[in-house]
Amino acid sequence: MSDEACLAVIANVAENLAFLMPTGPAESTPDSWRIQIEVQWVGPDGSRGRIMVALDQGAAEATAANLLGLMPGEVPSGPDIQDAGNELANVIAGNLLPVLYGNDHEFHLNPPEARAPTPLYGRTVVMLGLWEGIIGVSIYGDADNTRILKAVQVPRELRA
Amino acid sequence: MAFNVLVVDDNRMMRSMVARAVGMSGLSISKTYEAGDGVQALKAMRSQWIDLVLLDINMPVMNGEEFLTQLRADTALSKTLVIVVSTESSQPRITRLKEMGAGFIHKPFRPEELVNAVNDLMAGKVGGDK
Repeated sequence: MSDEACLAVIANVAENLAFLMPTGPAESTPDSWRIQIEVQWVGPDGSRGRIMVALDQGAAEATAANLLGLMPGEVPSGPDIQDAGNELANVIAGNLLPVLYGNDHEFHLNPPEARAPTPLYGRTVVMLGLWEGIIGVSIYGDADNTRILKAVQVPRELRA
Repeated sequence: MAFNVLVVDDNRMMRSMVARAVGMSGLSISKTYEAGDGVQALKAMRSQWIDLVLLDINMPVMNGEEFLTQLRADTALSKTLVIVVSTESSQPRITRLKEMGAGFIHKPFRPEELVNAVNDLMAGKVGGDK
């Protein structure tokens, strides 16, 4: 899947779940991430992978504030920011998997887990710019996704 | 008809967000209840009259599919309207849920999608009781 397609999925979730305002690919990488969340998944034929979602300070606070319906000027708590990030990551992962591998197979998503923020790396790393900040996503699959791609028979042009 | 709505999701932030979407949907709501998993949801339904359940799938303790199976097997609760609100995109699983009489909305969703899903379910319940 192209970076553009990944960004479109992430932008759709950011806009419609968390009411954030996407501006396109981020023009720079943040100095640090405020929170980072990992969502592991298991798919057909024992295939597995993980999706890492990172939010900078602005994106993390805005996501929590919007999901909670806070008034302007109200600052969400640390636990609220983490809970909001977890749900955003969960929905991003759930929306990315069918785009990556198709709708014909069942994927089980593990609960989102907080991770210590580190620079994102992996075969696919995309960064979405927002009016409020930046969301970064990295996508990992086992064995270069060969098992899952064989299992779901995704057309080559759509493969990650 | 004013609905008593039960929002079932393990993430409290998502329960809050779904509850707000219910409020924005224009549906006539009497009261909104919340539960964090299927076990809590069944307990709530046995003590409160619930007209509509908005149900997540991936939850600890008892997931949404297990909850729906138990609900449909309970003669007192089996005809309650259920709409699954999930990131789930697997067609086999969505088909199973719909075969159990549930509506389906994909996260993220807009309030009008909720209204449409409720209307679709109501249309399929013509002449039915709760």
